[in-house]
Amino acid sequence: MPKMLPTVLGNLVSKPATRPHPYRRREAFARARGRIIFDVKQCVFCGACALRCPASAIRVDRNERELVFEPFRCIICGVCVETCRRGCAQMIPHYHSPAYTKPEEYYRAPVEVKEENQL
Amino acid sequence: MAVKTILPFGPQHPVLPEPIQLRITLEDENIGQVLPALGYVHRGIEKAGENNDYPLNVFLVERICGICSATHGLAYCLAVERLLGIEPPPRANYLRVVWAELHRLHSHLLWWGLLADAFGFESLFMQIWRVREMVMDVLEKTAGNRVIISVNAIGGVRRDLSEEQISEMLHTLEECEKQLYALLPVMLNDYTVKKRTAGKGVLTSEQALRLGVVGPTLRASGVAQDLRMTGYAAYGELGFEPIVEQGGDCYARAVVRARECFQTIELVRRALQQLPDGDILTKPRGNPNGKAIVRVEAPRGELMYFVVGNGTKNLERMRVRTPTLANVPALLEMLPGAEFADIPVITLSIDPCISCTER
Amino acid sequence: MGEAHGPHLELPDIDNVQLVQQEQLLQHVAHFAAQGMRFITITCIDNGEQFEVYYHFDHDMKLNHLLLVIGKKEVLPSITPIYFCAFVAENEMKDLFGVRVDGLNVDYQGRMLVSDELPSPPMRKSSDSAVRRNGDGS
Repeated sequence: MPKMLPTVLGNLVSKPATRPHPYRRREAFARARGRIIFDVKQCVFCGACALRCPASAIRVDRNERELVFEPFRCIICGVCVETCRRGCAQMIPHYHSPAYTKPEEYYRAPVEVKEENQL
Repeated sequence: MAVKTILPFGPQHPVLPEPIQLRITLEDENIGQVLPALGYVHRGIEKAGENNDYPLNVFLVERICGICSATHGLAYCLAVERLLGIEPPPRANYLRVVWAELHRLHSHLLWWGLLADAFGFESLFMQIWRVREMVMDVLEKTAGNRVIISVNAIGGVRRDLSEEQISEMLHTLEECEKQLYALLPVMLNDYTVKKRTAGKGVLTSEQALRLGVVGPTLRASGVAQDLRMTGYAAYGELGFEPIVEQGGDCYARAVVRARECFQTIELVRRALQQLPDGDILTKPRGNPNGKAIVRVEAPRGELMYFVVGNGTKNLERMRVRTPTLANVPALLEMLPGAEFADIPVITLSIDPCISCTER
Repeated sequence: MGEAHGPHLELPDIDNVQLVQQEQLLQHVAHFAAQGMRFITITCIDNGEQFEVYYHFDHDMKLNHLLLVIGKKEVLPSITPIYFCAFVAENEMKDLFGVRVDGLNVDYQGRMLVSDELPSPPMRKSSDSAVRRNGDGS
């Protein structure tokens, strides 16, 4: 007991080491792997991210110009961010909030402008 | 007249974070025969490793075991690098050491907390885990995740450390060391700790070698074998000396891990001070071909990867020998003769990681 | 820096392999045991036609391997009478590859890791799939 005494006394006067989580949240660290978002305006639908994704959480349809991302399959490794040359895949430090279902996220290119250009 | 009872210990038990069952034959209060039953968390990762592309396997092997994920990734990358004939840049080697040692530190602190919890010293458990939380925060700040940090890639590392992060890391480690020093007298000399661990589950050095024991369990039996002595990554340049205890009991194992915590802090400090400048990644080219064996020291002991490439982007075979797989047979000799109440402490003393064992 | 750069490459690689016959396996293992070697593990590789079984041993941080090549229907002698701890590796081999091992001290009947419902050993390859794979590689 006497050996623990300094620690015990220190704990009496110091703040708690924990925090009441849902009411007071810690600010996310700048380099934390929170989740992946896609800036679809930059995307050329090359499919490089889908090919490299270890969890197969990304599907890219080049003809439909559509990118489907499954955030609850994603392991947030960041390979897509490293792969993407256009800066479309981005990592933000804030975590995805828990959910009852596992919805997929659809990203579609602004089709009308592109089609006019092609024609 | 002794009464024989067959007692299933596990698969769900307060001291076991993971499922393993020990079928224990009790003679009154004493343990007779022990038989482990495995297979609760077998995921077929060796098989999955043959179907993935070899760069993606890094993320797969990191999920064999959360707590030593950095070491698993490191071992796999070293093996594939050897097959591809590439050499990571020196800075990457040092950064690998930094993250692998931080993982060892938080793993040993986790184990110490669990040990304190196993013999009912809740207060020590919480104090140690508070120290551990600082290490976890350092990992999250630098690598992005608390546990599965995925910093290793084939040919180097994926994240670099900035000057501020290095100084912040050094500062946190100093604070961590100070708080651990304050707890050390309790960890090593407290009556409760000694009463519950000293003289329990004794393993002599001959027994340990014969049973193929690895890691802190082996070093606590007086055998100076630590794979870091072979100097993989940057360990050869950091002046590493293995930590050895002679007791061979649970107390000696606890002492080895406590001393390794301080050694680890010192190694990280040295690695950060000597950190060379330069690139962090050599781009891998081609497909792996041939056979390579790499052994590294995970927090729990020797981790062996045997990787066979066949010239395609898939591997022919990926064999993983994890430390706990080698330590489980030792339980079969340590437990018989011990008392019933010591089962949790002796089982925990090998630091069982069942996800590792079954892969 | 020069000599210390990447010293892990100096470790003995997979060179130290000794090919043994099935009958001599136990003699070799007993010889290793007499030298005080630490048993590491057994690796089984299915090359389609045969099983390549590697026995790994450690002697003062240096690796020694024994390689045994057996047909798929042949029976492998267990080394558990010499190295008790080998039962984990041998049972695992039995589970995943369906290698027949004779004389195991603790025999899980091929059900240590896998469940009873599994019809066949999961890592065993049929011979034509291995030919296809090797064809890709060369």
